[in-house]
Amino acid sequence: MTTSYEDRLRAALRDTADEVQPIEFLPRLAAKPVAAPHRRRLAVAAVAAALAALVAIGSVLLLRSDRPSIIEPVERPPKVFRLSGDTSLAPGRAQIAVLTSRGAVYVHSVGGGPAVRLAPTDWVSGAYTQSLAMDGTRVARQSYDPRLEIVNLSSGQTNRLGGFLGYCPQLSPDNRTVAVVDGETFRLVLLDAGSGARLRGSRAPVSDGQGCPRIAWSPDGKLIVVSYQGETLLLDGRGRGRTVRRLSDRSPVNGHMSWAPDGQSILMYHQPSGRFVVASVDGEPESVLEAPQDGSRPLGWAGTRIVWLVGPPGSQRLVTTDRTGADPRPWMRLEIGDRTAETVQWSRDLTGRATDSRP
Amino acid sequence: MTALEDEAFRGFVAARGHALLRTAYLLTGDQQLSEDLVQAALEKAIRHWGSIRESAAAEAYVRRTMYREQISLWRRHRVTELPAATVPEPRRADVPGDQVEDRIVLRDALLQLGRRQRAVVVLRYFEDMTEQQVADTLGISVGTVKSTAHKAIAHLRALCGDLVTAGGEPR
Repeated sequence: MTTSYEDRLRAALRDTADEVQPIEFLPRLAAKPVAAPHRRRLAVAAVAAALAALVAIGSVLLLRSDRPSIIEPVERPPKVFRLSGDTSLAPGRAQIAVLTSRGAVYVHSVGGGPAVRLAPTDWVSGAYTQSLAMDGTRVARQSYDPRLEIVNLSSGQTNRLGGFLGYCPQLSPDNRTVAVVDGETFRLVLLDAGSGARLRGSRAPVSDGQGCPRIAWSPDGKLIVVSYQGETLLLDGRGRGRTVRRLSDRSPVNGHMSWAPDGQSILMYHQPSGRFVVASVDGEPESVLEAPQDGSRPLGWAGTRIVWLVGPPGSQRLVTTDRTGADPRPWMRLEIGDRTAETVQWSRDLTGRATDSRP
Repeated sequence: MTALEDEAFRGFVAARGHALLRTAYLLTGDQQLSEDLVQAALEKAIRHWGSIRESAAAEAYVRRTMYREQISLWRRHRVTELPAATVPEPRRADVPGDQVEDRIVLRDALLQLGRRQRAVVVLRYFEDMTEQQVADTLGISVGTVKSTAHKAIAHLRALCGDLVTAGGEPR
C-alpha cells in the first residue's frame, strides 16, 4: 500500500528526531547558569580566539622576513559540517583536517571562523605526506628543502627540522617526537620534534621511496606500527625501535587514526584480500569489516566506532559504523566544492575521551 | 517552595524533557541549540510555575515558549558554522546508507523553511496536533495554519523530493 507524502513525512520526522541525544535538564536548571551553556562557551571561545589571533598577529610581526608564516585564512571553503564532541575543546586546535588530493589541507578550528588552508608543499603534494597531530594543535609535513615542517596551528609558527629529506612524518601523541622515513636510507627515524635531533631508528628499510609507508603511533605513544612491502611491524616507540611483533600482509589505515582510542586494536588493510580488518594488538583473531556502502573506505576511529569516507567527489561524507561495519550512522557531510577529500583526520578530543596533551 | 523543589515540576521535566528535546531538535537541527532551546523554555517555566503548575498547561506553556524562543536563536545563530557540542549520532539501529542520507536531507530542508513553516510542520506532522491546536499554540488562525502547512509541504517537496519511510518503501 502506497503511503501518502504526509505519512512519509511523519516517519521521516520521527527518524530525524531520533538523532538527538537525551540529556538531564534538572541538574542544569539547578545550577542556574548565568548564560545558556552554549552561549557561554561561545563567549569564552570568542575571547580565547581573539587572544590567540592577537598572539598570532604578534608572532607574524616578530618573524624574520626569511621565515614567513604559512598560515593564512586564504579562503572560506563551502560549508563544512562540523564534528563535535562533548569535551570542551580549546580554540586554536583543529577539530578536523580535510586533506585533499591536490595536497591542500583545510583545517577547521574549534574556535569557529573560516577554515584555514595550508598550501601544498613543493616536494610531494599527496595527502599522506602530512598529518594532523593527535591533539589538533600541529601539522607535520614534508618540505621542499630537506627539512620537515612542524606547523603550530595556534601561533602560525613553523618549526623546520631534520636536515635531511624525510617522508611521511607522524607526530607522537605528546608531540615530542616525530616518526619519519629517511629519504636516503628509507629507514624509520625518530626525531626530537623540538631540536630535530635523531633519537633512534629502525634497522631495516620501511619504504622504497615511491610512496608513504603507513606509520601509526599507538595512543599511549609506546608502539609504532609501520608497514612496507607486505610486512607490518610493531615497533617499540620509546626504546630502541626494536620489533615487537610482525603482522604480515596488513598495513595500518590513515596514520594515527588507525589505532582505536583504547590502544587495543588497529584498523588495517589486508592487501591480498582487499578487505579492511580490525586487528587485535595482542594477536587475537581479527574481524573483517563490511563496508556500509560500495566505494566507502575506513579512515579511523571515533570512540568505539569506525569512521568511513563515503560518496563520490562533490558529495563526500563521513559515516560511522560499529567494529564490523554495521549500524551506519551519519557523522559529517563534507561540502568542499569540487575538491576531493583524500583523507580526513581529526583531533582525538573528538573521540569523546578526555586526553592530556602537551600544550 | 521553589519550582525546582516542587515534585510536580521535577516530574514534568523528567517525563517530558526528552520529548521536548526531540521537538527542539527538529526546530534547530542541532544538538546543542536544541538543548539550549529547551533549557531556556524551562527556565521561563520555572518563573511562572505557580500559574502553570497543572501539567497540561505547563507543557503548552513550554512549547509556546520554545517556538517563540526559536525565533531569537535563529536570528542570533544565522551563520553556517557553529562550534557544536555533541556528535550527531542517532540512536537508531540499522539504517541503510541511503536512508541515512535522507535524514540528513530532511534535517537540512527543515532548516531552510521559514520559522513559521517549520513550526507548523513540526506541530502538525511530528506532534500530530490538529489544525486548531497548532493555531492555539502559535497564536495564529486556523486558516493561516492550513495555508502555511500547504506551502511548507510544497517547499519540502521541492527541496528534498519524495521521502522513503523507515521501512524503506519505494518512492
